[in-house]
Amino acid sequence: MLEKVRKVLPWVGLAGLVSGAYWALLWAPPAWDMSDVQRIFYIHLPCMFMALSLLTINFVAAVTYLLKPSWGADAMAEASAEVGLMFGLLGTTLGSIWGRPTWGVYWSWDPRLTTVAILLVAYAGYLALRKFIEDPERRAVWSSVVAIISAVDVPIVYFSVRWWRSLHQVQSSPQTVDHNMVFAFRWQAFAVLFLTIWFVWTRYRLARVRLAREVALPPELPPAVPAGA
Amino acid sequence: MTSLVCTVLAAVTAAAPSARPTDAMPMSVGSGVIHGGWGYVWVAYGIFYSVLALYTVSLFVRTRAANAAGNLKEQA
Repeated sequence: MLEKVRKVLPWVGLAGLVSGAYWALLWAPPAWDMSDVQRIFYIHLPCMFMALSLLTINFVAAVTYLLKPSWGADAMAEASAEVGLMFGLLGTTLGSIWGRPTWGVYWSWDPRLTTVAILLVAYAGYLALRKFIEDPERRAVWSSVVAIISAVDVPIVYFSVRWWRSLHQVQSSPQTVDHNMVFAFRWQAFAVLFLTIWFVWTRYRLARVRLAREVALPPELPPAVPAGA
Repeated sequence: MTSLVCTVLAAVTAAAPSARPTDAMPMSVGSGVIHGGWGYVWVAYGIFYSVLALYTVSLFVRTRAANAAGNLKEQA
């Protein structure tokens, strides 16, 4: 049953994205101040939302591993970090393109963008660390510690637009946005969510397989043979 | 790294026809209201779909490699 759900998920996500393109590009009205450029919002926000959610899951998995070590928690930490970083990079790139016509620049070192850049570098380092350490147990412990330290930046990214005077706008709410825009956004967000669940699920299985193979490996050196044996 | 990304994005969006202000579709930066800018939208959606497609392909390739090794079926 679960395997069937896993196979259907990417098709549901794909159908959602294709139909979502119609809602976002043709059906939703243009913004009064940003005109059609605002349509980037329908893909930028779901990407950043998925990124922050997955890095929060990564934090939970890391804490879980340290409290109650299990390969499942370690695999989930690895899967959520990789997919989260991919969405973070994608969302930041899309935001940068949106920034050019609205702010006049692709990039500005304002609080929101700076904290996002730190977050992306931290999780790229996290994944690099996992690649470098060969011993599975040591890798799981060290990367869990790095994940917990990196996760400190997640709430800072979210609240940065409220705490500091930022070029980036504060979070919108459905009450302040045209209801047609809200519908188009929710449609796209759910499509990206289905695809994200499939990404993480597939990546988690791959991580479990690699971990199982590593743990089953025999020690590098054979036991010492006693002299005279 | 950031400057490299900015340079690439600048080149791509400058190449898009509707990214530049024209007589037919002016982009009045400074008046507080933006007109047009579809070039940026097409580039953004193109990158969005391309990255998702590439990541999907990378997962398929890795899954196929794990299947070839006979590991994933045992896991499932």
